[in-house]
Amino acid sequence: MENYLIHYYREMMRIRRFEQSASSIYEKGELPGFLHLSIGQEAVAVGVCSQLNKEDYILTTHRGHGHVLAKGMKMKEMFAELFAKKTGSNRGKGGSMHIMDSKIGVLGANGVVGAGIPIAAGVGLSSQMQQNGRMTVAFFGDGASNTGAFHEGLNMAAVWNLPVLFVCENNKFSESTSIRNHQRNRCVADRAMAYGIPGIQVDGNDVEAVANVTAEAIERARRGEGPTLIEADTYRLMGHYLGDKVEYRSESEYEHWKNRDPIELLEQRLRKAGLIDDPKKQAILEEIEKEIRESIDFARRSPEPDQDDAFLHVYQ
Amino acid sequence: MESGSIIQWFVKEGDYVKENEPLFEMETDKVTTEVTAPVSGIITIVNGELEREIAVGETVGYILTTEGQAERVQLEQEQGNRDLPEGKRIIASPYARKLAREYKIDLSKIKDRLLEKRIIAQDVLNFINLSNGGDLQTSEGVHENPTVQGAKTANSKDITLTPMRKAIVGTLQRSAESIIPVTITRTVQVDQLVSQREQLKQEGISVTVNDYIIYAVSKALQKHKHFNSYFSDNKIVQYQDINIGFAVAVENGLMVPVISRSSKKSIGEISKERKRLVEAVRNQNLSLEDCQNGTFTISNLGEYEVDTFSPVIYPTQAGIIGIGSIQKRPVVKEDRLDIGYLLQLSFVFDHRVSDGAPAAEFLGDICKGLENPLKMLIEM
Amino acid sequence: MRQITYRQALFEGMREELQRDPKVFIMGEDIEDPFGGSYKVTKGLSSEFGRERVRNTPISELAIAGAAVGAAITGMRPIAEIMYLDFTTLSIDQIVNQAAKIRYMSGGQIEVPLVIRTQEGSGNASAAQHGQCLEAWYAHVPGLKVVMPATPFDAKGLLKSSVRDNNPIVFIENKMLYNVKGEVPNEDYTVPIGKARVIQEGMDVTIVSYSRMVHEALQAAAKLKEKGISVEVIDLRTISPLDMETILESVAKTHRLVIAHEAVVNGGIGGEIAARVIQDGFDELDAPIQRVGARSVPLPFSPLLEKQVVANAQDIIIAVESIIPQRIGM
Repeated sequence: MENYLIHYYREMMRIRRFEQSASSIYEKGELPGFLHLSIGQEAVAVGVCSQLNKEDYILTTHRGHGHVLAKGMKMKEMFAELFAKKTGSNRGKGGSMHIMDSKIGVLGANGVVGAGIPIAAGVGLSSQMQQNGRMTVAFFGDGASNTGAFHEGLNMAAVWNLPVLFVCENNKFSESTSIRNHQRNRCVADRAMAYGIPGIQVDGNDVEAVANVTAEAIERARRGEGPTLIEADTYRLMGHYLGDKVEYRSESEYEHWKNRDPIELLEQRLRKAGLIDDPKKQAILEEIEKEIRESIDFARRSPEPDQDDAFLHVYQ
Repeated sequence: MESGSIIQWFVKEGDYVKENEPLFEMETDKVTTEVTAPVSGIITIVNGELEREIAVGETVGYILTTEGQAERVQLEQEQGNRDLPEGKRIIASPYARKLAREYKIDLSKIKDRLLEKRIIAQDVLNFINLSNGGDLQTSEGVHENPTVQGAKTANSKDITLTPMRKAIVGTLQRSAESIIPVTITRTVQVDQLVSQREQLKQEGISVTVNDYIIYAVSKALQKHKHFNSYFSDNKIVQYQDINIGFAVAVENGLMVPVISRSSKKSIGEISKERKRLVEAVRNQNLSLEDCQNGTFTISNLGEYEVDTFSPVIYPTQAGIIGIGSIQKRPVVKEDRLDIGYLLQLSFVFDHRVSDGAPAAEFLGDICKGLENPLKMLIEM
Repeated sequence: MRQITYRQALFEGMREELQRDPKVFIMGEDIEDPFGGSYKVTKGLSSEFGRERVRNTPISELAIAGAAVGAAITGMRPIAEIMYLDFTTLSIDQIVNQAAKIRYMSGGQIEVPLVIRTQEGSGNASAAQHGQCLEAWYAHVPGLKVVMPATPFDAKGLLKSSVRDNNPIVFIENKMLYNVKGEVPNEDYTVPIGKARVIQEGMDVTIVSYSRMVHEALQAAAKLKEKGISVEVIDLRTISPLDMETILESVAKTHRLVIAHEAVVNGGIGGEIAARVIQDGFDELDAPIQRVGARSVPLPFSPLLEKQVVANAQDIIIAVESIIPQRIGM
């Protein structure tokens, strides 16, 4: 059994390479629609999802590739969905912003900012009523923390003591607006106090730290003490969407965060601990490349959806 | 278009041209158009200079046909002009149009309208209904047909009523509501009528039994005015004119055109009018006027070899005569057996306007007339 | 057969479904006992089934609808009450962008068997923000069904069908119908979603209606009968999907159509029905199609003014008479 840190490393690298590959095929014009890349935020995805079981649920955002991969979605099905093919996870009908896989509790990426938060409360309610012990995690960004949905969802989960983790990836931007300009109190975790639940700040680029606070929050929920708000401090290294020229941030800010790349931070730790060396890294990278190549091939070769699929799944 | 000029010829002098073949292209101030050959034949060009202004009606050339006719080629009024004749657009509701299509009624014949702005279904139904001898009131809702429970064990299927059938049913029910019908039947020997008819046929004149009967009935009604009437509101309304309607079967129904003022017509005129009306029914362009104002009706099922039958009196009349087929039968002549042509007539009358004896007299007069048509025709 | 109120019928419907299926639960503002809901429809349920299955929510229409979505996609069958249809404007993202679309976007993986129970209509001087009829908005969204009972019988039967249906349903009651009584059998029964009902048959004109206006239509029909006009009245019961078969059959019989709803005429469901009848029943029309509904004006507070704005039986009578030629009634 692999050392858990190596596992984290591999998982984060998988996400990174997925996003980079998706980006390059998108730039070649092969993918319809938009891509919202989570490069730089891998530690949050892996840290949180590593603590979840298959039956646990996650709700995520338009920037959700990392979360759903970390939760266990198959790369083949993801690429196929990005290519809008019939073999995609959503049969080509959802796309990047609505990736879903009900078999492994991925109740969906959501295109409406904040919408997943009250839904997560409902999922938590469902688990509570069915007494099945399942955890629910809602991922969202600092921008979403200003929506009514955030307020209503957290309040409801708090007053009903629901087993939900609200994980805010504070990546310092709401689309093109810096956090400095979209909330006076830049500490999202502070808001937990308003609902009477714990608000935990964590270094979002330290995968282990994230994993630890997640584990604690899960414990708390399992003990029946209700939801937790986790604010993960991180940074979005790419633009809001692929194609965004990102003229709205300063070079120095970017450089600062580039030096805190979560994967590199972990790699440094692993090297120091003697857990990884160049050949090992190479081996991991090659495995990942293979998986990516095969998945993209699969997606390219897959058929388009049937014309009539447009009319399926409206009603039962 | 007043004038145009020829810009191009497609044929040359002496060519054989076919009817509708393009002869030349011409330009007017509005449009460029082709003029085609009115007939087939050899073309002679008389006035075919290009780009010269030519007036409408001016002869451009002639086409000599094989029959030796010389047909003129000239500039006609602009072809393809789709100007609608003034005021001829008919505004009718979609359902009215559907009914008109189904019953092959020309909407432009419908003069009576309930609404000023458009023809509606009721107008079409009234038109159909009137031709069945009913009055203007045909409200589908006013007459509630009683629901009858059918046999419980028999399988059944509902057949929706067509508008024509609805109209007929309405008329029949109104008749049944108030009229008290009594039937008197007589058999007439019509040998003379038959032979007279044959004779006329030889000379190319066709007169039918119905013509004779209409004539006879008209004469009889002049004498027995009380049967040219109807009962209403505790009084008997006597018609001044004698207008005899006769039933004509159409697909899934019947129409009853009316020969107006039949008592003022000779049998020849009656025959001519009757033929015109039957033709109109066949061509499905019977007009409203043709069906209005009947005062008495006859109905003939003779062609179906029916002996006799009692038809239903129309609600605004007091009598109807049902006519059977002319049959060759044994007859008693001066105590000996002979063969003769027999015809049965059933006179159904509304007992409220008169009684059995007068009815028998009336029918008797008709039968006398038919027995001796020559005498009937001479008598004024 | 016993007569109970529309309110009682809804109560019974919910109660029977709560009994039948442990996955069914209800949440909404102020629905628990002793208060029992703004219109007292849920009174008695929390006492019988407990506050977990019949629970009060904070004032959070967005979260109420959102939580309903979350619960529905993970195996529960929630009935979420939104106090006034007017307030669904606060839930609308969850209803329209989420509930209506999850089955489709997921490629058929996930279904959303929820019922949003709400009520509409004017008549108690609640003014402009508490009496709107917005069913046309939801009928316009693919993926949603919109159900609107007019009678106690249909209220109970349709609510039960809605709970059992695996699609997201906006179930719109009418505030002025809660006290209306009607026949409701004792036995378990359901009313099918998507099927209209011909309440009374007629020959001269068809009135298509739903919810409170059905009662106005029946009143109008009675008055019209005295004038010799025979009216066929259809209660749609479900607004989306529309039962066009029943409507077209009726128009093929009467050839005249009046659509009467409480909602504002402009942009209302009447327009959709009229367009479909023109498309599929054009040759049966003997007169222009008439729509009766509220004027394009926000609801005034003054009851007197409200009467100017909201349609009633008299407006229906005028509409019918405008398309029937004078001869009727001779």
